Amino acid sequence: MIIQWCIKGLNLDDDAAARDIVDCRGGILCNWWRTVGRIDTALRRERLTSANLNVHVNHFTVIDPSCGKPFSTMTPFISLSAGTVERDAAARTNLVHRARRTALWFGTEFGRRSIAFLYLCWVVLAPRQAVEIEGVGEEVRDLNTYRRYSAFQTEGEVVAKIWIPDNQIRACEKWTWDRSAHRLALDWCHPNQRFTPPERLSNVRELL
Amino acid sequence: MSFRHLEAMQLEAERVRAAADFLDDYGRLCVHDLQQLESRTSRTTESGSMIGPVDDDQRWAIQADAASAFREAAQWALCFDPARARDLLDLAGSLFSQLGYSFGSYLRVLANRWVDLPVREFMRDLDGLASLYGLRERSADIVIPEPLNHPQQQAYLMLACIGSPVVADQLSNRLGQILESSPHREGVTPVGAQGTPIRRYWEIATALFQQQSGAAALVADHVAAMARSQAEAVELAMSNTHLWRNAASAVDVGNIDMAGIAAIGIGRFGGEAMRGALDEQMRLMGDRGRMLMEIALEFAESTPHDDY
Repeated sequence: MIIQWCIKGLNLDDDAAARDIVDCRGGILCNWWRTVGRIDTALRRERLTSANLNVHVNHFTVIDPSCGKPFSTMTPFISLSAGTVERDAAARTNLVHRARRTALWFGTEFGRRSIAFLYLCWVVLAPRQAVEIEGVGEEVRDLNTYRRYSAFQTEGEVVAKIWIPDNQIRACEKWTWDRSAHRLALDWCHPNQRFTPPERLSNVRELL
Repeated sequence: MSFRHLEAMQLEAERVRAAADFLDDYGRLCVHDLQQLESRTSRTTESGSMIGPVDDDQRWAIQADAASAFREAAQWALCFDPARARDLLDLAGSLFSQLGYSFGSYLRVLANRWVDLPVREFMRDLDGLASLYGLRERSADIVIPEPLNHPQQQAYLMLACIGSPVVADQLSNRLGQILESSPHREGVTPVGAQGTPIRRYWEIATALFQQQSGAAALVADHVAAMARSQAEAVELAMSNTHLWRNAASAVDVGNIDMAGIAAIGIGRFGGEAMRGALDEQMRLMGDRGRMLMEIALEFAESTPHDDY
């Protein structure tokens, strides 16, 4: 298993709503859960499929034929950015981006809003694709053919499933983009007091 | 103008401008972070703290992130504001160059804002490459920047050298020798956003360098092939409307390889000859490919050219 640090960028109504995600212990929910309010355990299995993952990654806004609603509102997956910062790959592609950049672009609703909330969290990834297993996230690098430098895409996009527990979120950050002043800045950082470091999962046993 | 092409590709002008602004400002944020990091390091060094120097990986990641952000901002700006694109390419190129990437030199040559062209550095890199190919004996005084071990960086070094009249003139012997004897003449290593085989870049570089009869047509033929490949990628990316329309797709519209090669071609062959050869190719091309070529060509034609 791989423990991957990621960032989720969200646009929320206000500071209180942003802090609530960690303070009220709700964590980050998938849009499906947020849309319907309550989700059925059996249905989770039905929705965690490779076909739905493909729709999530490649056709996010299409109508989901199973419910007649936009897939974006009914997805069981949560997109996260992990960044691509490997030196050898960079020398081949001339492209590096840290997770923060993608999270900010999504969090500002692609530049439409001036505020974004970023959540720094960790997820457990399986070394192989395991879409139907809810407890592990997926790397989605191989799901399409057209991506920039697909031959070298080593990391960068991750999807979590159903929800990210609040104790896997280290902090929430509020960022402001003042476009006319050319200024992108961190306003505040709200650490999660209940955060559990991923080192707890380490398989290295200390010598006593 | 290019905004017309963007609209035809279902991209709103405002979204494209916002993407360029955002990436520009994000790049500035990274540069600011980098300065903060450096100042923290110097403070801890002065106070004799036990804290070690700034993690080199951290510094590298921030700088490479900044360079990439400026580069991508430039690719968007290339579609609507060539002068701004050149400023951004120069910024990106400068940061990449500091990291030892020949791609950075290529961007700076393309931006044409380089005041003191470092001919000695180009010479050092060409000597390094010659020693890698066994054209020169390896010696301790030849230091090869680590990224130059990658074929992709070697291809951009060739284009950067040929794109600069001073370097192409002063180092022409070295350039000619490397172009003719490199294994990349037959290479299949993917280069650039569309994973173009390196042999294509090498043929382009050789044609631009040698300027033989029919060279402009050959270069145009290669640029057209790159445009066709990019057009297919764009078409596929457009099916993901959410990412595409929000300028969040991992496929570029402004192609700095095509734009750069066309710009160098104009410098080497003259505007009329290069435009004529590209027009010939565009006549045979589908709508999407033609638009991508026109965006690149508009940028190339707006670039001020130094005399060879």
